[in-house]
Amino acid sequence: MRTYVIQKIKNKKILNLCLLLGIVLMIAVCSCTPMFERGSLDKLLQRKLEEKMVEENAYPVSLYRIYVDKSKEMKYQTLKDSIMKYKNTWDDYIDIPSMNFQYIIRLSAEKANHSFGTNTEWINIGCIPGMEEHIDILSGTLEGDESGIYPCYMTERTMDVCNYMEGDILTLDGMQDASGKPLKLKVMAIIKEKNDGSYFWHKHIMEEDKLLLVPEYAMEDMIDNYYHSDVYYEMNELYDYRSINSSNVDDLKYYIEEFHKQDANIKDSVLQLFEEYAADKSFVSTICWVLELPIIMLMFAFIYMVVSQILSMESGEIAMLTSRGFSRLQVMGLYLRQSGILAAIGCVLGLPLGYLLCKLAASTDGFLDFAIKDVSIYHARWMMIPYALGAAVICMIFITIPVAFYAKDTIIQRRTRKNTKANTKVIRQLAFNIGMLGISLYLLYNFNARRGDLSIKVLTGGRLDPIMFLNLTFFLFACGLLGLQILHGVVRLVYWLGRRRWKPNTYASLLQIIRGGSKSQFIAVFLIFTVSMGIVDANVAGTINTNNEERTAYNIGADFILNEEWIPKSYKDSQQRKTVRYYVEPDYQRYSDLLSDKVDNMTRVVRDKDVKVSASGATATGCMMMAINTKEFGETADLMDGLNDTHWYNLLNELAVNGTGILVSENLAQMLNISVGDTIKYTRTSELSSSEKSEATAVGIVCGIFKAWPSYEQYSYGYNEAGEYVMNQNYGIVVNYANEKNVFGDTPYEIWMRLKPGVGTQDILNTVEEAGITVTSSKSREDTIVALRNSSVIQITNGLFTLSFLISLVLCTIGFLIYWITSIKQRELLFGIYRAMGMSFKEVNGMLMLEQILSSLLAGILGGVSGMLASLLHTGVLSIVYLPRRHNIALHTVIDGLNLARFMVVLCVMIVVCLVVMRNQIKKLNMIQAIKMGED
Amino acid sequence: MSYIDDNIIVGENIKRAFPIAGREDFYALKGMDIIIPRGRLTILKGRSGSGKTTLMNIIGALDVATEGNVHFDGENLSTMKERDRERLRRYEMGYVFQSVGLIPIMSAYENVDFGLRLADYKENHDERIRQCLDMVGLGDRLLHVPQEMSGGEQQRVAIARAIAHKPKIIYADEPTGALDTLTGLSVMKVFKELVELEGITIVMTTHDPNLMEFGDVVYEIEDGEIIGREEHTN
Repeated sequence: MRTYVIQKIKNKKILNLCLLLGIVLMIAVCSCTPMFERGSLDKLLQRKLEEKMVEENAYPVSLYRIYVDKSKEMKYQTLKDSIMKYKNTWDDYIDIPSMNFQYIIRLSAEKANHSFGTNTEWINIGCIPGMEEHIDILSGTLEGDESGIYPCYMTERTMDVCNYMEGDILTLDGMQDASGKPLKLKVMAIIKEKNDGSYFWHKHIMEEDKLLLVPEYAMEDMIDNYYHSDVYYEMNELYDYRSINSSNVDDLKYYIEEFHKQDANIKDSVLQLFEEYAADKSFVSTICWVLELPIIMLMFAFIYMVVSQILSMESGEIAMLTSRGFSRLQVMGLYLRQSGILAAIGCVLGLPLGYLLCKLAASTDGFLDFAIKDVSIYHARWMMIPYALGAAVICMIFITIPVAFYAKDTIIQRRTRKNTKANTKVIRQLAFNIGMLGISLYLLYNFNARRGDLSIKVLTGGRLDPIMFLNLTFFLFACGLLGLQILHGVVRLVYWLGRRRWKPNTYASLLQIIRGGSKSQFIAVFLIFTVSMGIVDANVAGTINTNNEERTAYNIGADFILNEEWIPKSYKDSQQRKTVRYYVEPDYQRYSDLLSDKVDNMTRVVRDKDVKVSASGATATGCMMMAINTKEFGETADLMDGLNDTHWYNLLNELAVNGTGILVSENLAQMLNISVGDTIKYTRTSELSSSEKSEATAVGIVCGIFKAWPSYEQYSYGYNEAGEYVMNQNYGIVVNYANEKNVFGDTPYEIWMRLKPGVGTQDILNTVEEAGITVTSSKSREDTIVALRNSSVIQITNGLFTLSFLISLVLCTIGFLIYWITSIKQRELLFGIYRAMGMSFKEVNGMLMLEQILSSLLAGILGGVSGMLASLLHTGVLSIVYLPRRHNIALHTVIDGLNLARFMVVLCVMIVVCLVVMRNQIKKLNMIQAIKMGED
Repeated sequence: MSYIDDNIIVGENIKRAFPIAGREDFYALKGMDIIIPRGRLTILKGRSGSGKTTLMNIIGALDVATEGNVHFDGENLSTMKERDRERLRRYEMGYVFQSVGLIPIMSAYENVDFGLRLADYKENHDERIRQCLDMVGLGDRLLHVPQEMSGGEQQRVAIARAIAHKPKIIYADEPTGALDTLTGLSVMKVFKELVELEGITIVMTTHDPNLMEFGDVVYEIEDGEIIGREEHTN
């Protein structure tokens, strides 16, 4: 039986190879899922940890415990044992390598008398065991030199604050031994943290004011033998964040939470990050699932198509087996073996292919944009094997089930069935197709109507209804079926219109299309589905990427924004008997001098996000105010066209001619019920606690209303008082810088820049910092967009869309070729008859070409139209996952012409290849042989 | 009447060799001389593998003889270009294949119409189609597709298609091969009527001895050679 099955595979090499390809791709896509998802999650987690490290300038994963012992009876060894017990417990449960463990034991502040009696300070005495290896001795030595006096060490900071010198002897009267002798310390050395690349000083515990460090034996003696007040300790353990991954993070989070429950003194630096990760994790899983589902369905369609071709060619053989007494199960068993052989080969090939696909998807920088980068975080996982086996088994079942239908007929029943004309009423089919499309559109309408709620659900980490994503597949199928029916209607009409005039080859082609049967309809639907899926993939990816980047660019407003440190100055106001603080503008001219070769334009922008605006009794608080130099601002900032009713330069012009003019956001104008020409007041509160003008109000006339303005975001999201996550309106005003300065004095401003081509952010920062300017923060549009492109979610999206697109292309091409090649093989007799009846080779070719054009090319075009339609209708709903926030730049579907062109070129190449293959097949066709074959 | 006018096909020393890998060519026809009289039903009789279909293919312009000449209505098929053979098959000849060879997606009416379109038939198609299908007794099955017809009915539609464009000759390769005796006889009756009423020349192959009485001329073929010729006069 095995020989028979192998022979069966050999007999239909091409079709079985195609089936194998479908299985290999299915196994590859399924098995790469855990690798891609886990890799993406690992990357997400690592990026979050690294970002945290950069933002907080501290090691991201640490566990620490702060404890105060007030008993005064505590012995040093007991304390140390307690610390080690905690450490061991942590290490037992936390399966992450420890990077560093360090603790400080400290006695609470005691009054220390200087040996010269000139200086008395409250000082802390601490001990950091093991610190000797991690310090630099600036002067002195660690060894004590006088008996009865303990050595101690201090940092330069303590030296400055306490005014101690090396060699000073301090007497702590509050700490006496049993004989009543006070504790004496001698400052032996000035030390500092050694920068040895270790994590020992990740928490700068030595850099505390008024801290004297003593050797461990001294501390032990003080605790055990001296009267002392409270004893503190702080123990810190760092864990290697690079060893934390999606597999162990949940355990780590669980144990940290358990530690917290057991002991309130235990603190951590990472639990909140893990919480955020957990929310993102479900989001990433949803995205992976959502994006892979259509690919999987596409592959099932492909496998079904190939299987149905094989089965229809082997139906006679199956009927023969059934007639010879094979039961249905036995026949199915044969095909199960056949699919088993293919599935086994599929596993062998699919697993490495899945690995490569995952690496390929991970290497994308954008849709179909591959980059050479480190993707080692995406590595093979054991889970790939069960996924591959699962996919293989499902493929085997999927291949075998249709056999049941064929295996129920004996050879006689098969002939009878073959002779029964399928007669599906056109109207019924049309109603079914319209119904399907109607349901899909209704679902889409519903999801669209609930976009606001769905956005909030996404923002709060909720799971979306999977139907939302399946609906796209449903829509494409419905479009495919309905489009095909319309196409058939058109072909019927064409046939009918010229039915008396058509040449024989046209006549045969038209009838072949009209009556070609379900198989040709299936390939057409398959083509429509793959083409439309590819186009939707390209458009959704383009929409997400473009909208994200446009919004990011809008939110920043210019190429580069820089904030310099403004140090407040102060003076004593003798009349008001208080210190008054104020800002003095740093020399702005320095920037022009420094950056003239790097920057095309720059301008100062005062931005205050907490301004009160009032007009005729109504007040809006928390408004954003921008004070600008109109001309410079217009030359420096960017705003997309079409976001306002008028070009924003017109608004700038209005502001320029009205010194006290104010531009207000449309929502603010509505809220305050004001319009152009109305007078409004705006009040700013100084950020300095005791400034010259702690609060000042300016009055101005509304000279324009804007909907969008560089960096002004109309919407923000957050929890309201009732604890609900809601969308809020942000209000904005724009005023003249000169007027603002006149009313409010000098206040810190941002410097907005338009960079010269090729100038990078780091060039600017280096130049500025070399000139001694302290930059407190900066924002670069390009860097932000690059970071966005590299964000895990966007990378996953682009990776999977690219994968889906490429698989669509491959399946579309192969599916198409298989159909036509097998179709010609099946129709060899017919072509032989045509040729025997005197039809020329050229006419037979022309006939096939017309058939191609009317079925495949039109199906391809229909797929293109369906894809475009689906993109326009569905992108909004699908993008909720990626762009849930409402924005000044409304979501707009981006139709990427390049990707469309790519797809269409592939389709045309495919048709040309197919025509060449068909031409060769027809050329090779032996007329006599073909007729003879018919006799057989 | 001349020799050519009396005989539509004259074949001399027809040989057909098929190459066999690693061995000498196999001669399916070993030098046959054959004459097909115009307006008569000629039967090529022989066992399976005797070479009758090969001979039919050569005199039917479907294949070319390796050696020898075949003259069809005065034109030498052996030296003719493929384009000219196509013309002959299309306009001057009609075929009834053992496999029937109807186009499955077309109804009986459309199958016959297809033959007319191929032959660029100038007269009224509808009238001729109905006439031909009536002639084969299927005037009431115009809209039936092959799947909906029995083997005999399908063969009769194939005959209707073959005669519709009024060819000079019809070649029928084992037209009754797949039919039961009664249906086979009804097909032969149709052939006989066509010869008698329409004056068409028919050449058919068969291995069924019961059908010999229908033939005006019967050639007996064995091992690629004609071993006998009988002429029947009614």
